[in-house]
Amino acid sequence: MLRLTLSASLLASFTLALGSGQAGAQALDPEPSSPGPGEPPTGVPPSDVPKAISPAAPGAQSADAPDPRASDVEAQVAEEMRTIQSQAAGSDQGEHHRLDLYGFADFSYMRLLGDSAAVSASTSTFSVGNLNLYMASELGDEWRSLVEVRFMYLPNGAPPSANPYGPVTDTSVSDPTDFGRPIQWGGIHIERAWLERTFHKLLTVRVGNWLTPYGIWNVDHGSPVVIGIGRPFIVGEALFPASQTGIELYGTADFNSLQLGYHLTLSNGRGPASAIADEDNNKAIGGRLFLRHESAFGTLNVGTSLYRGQYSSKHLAYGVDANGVATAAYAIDSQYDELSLAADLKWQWRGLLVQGEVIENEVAYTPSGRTVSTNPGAPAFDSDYRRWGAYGLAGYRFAFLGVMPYASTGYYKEGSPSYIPKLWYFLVGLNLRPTPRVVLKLQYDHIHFYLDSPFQDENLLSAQTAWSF
Amino acid sequence: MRATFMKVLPFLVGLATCLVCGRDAHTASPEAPAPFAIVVAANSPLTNISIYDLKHLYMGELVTGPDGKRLIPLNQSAQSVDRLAFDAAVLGMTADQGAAYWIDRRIRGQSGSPRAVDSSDLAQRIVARFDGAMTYVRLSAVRPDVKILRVDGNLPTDPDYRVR
Repeated sequence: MLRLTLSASLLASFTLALGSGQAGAQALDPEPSSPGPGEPPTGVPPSDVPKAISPAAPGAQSADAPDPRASDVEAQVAEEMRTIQSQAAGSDQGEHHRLDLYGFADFSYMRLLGDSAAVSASTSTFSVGNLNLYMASELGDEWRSLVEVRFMYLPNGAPPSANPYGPVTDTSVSDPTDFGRPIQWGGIHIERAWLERTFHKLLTVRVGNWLTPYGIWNVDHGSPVVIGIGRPFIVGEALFPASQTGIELYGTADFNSLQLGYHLTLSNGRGPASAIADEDNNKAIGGRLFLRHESAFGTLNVGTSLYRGQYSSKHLAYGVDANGVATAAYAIDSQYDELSLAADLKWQWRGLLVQGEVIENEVAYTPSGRTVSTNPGAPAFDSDYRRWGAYGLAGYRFAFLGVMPYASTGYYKEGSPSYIPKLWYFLVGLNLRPTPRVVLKLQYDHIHFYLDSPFQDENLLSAQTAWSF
Repeated sequence: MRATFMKVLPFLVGLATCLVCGRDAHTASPEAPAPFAIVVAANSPLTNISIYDLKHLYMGELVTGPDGKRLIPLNQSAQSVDRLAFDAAVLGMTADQGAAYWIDRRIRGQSGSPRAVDSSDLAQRIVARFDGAMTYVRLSAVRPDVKILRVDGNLPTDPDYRVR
């Protein structure tokens, strides 16, 4: 069955290739009815189009017989129109639906240098970091869907996030297809899964799980797109949630060379199970305003973002009341209100790229949700806090091999008693794009931690190849 | 020294004149490709498009016509000479930059590139019958069943026309 399907596909491809070749040859034929330069042609009814085909090619049919090439072209036009209509105009009959599969992956090498290497378990390592698959589809009538999943080796080889210094997870199991020999299974992370419909340039409604529309890096998202290796520290710290589940509205309006745009979001907010449940029935709101201006000095993007929500973690607690009746009620493990603000700027002029983001996050615990502190030397309970950070990046892309030398610096302040109260870093690197689908990166990082320990500085050399497919 | 300079001066002037004339002659060469015409269906209400809208239409953004309907751009195949020239003139991108742009855009989760067809002739035939469709074609190859748009108020024969 599979062979038959493949054979049919090959035959169809071959037939299509022949048709394309004929169409290409047709395009080279002179058009006797073409107007001269500067003479805008007048309209001709579509039914007259076949008559415009030149009959002068070798082996042409007699005037009375239908020209097979003309019918081939007409068939090709009709096929293209059906495809465009099904994708754009909403006449999809559901018979031939197209699903686009594509994605990206990256492979990295990282080496700690100097004193920092003495305290790290892994000082020189290779890794496959991202293997992301996209499934996109134009559903017709301005409906569109996108699902992105990341295939991971995790949780194998990583400690639980609640105990980052504990033993790593071992997912080894016996593989029944290989005499019970051990195999380590990995996981899948759903990066986003949404459906959207565009009603107007000013309004698109998106529902599902989507990347939070803030700043630059979180939306750039993929390793072939972002300039450096790894995210800036403040983006990695998730001062805004990286993704949310709910409803997003967005749109743009153009005024000459100026574009204004907005995003409005309503979601479950942040939480231990935010993709599937709102633990506190308290919806988070967010938004983003941005403008883009194009001039002889390049393209300037400026944006500001906001997120307001409540984080809640709770569990079902069973008990017995004074009358000896069993009770069950949710007990709050942790709960806080948070407000995040951000501003970003991006300037592109020829090969030059300058971008930066400032992000702040304020956390205020509710009376019942304040957590017991686990930080050494801190008060018994966690205090409210404000954390913030910023980064700036500049690079210039040369035409030769798509080479872009870049430099970046960043700062992050935790704001609450923690193991790393604040840090500063500087990095330089090279980003090469020898072909559009392959990106090579080499980067040196110097990170300074403001710690009461001899290991205040960390130096890191890393290389990465990222590719899209 | 001065005398030597005076001797070679006529030669230098002559050389400079040749270079200038040669450049002008090259610019005005009849072999220079015709400008691109932006064409839509003959019965389209659209008569003019700004270079800004044209650029963003072919960069995957939503652009609507005067009737509020989405404009549908049709491209030529990625390696065609006209596609490369159009991308350079309107989008300001080389072939590699264009390819990288579309890859990055897809990874961001945005829409993909406009549909590409095999030839400008085929593109025009589709445009002629498809409400809202638009394509570009060398002025010398415009079919009679499509309408040429002004770009920023200029026709392809105007000196200020930018899509060349």
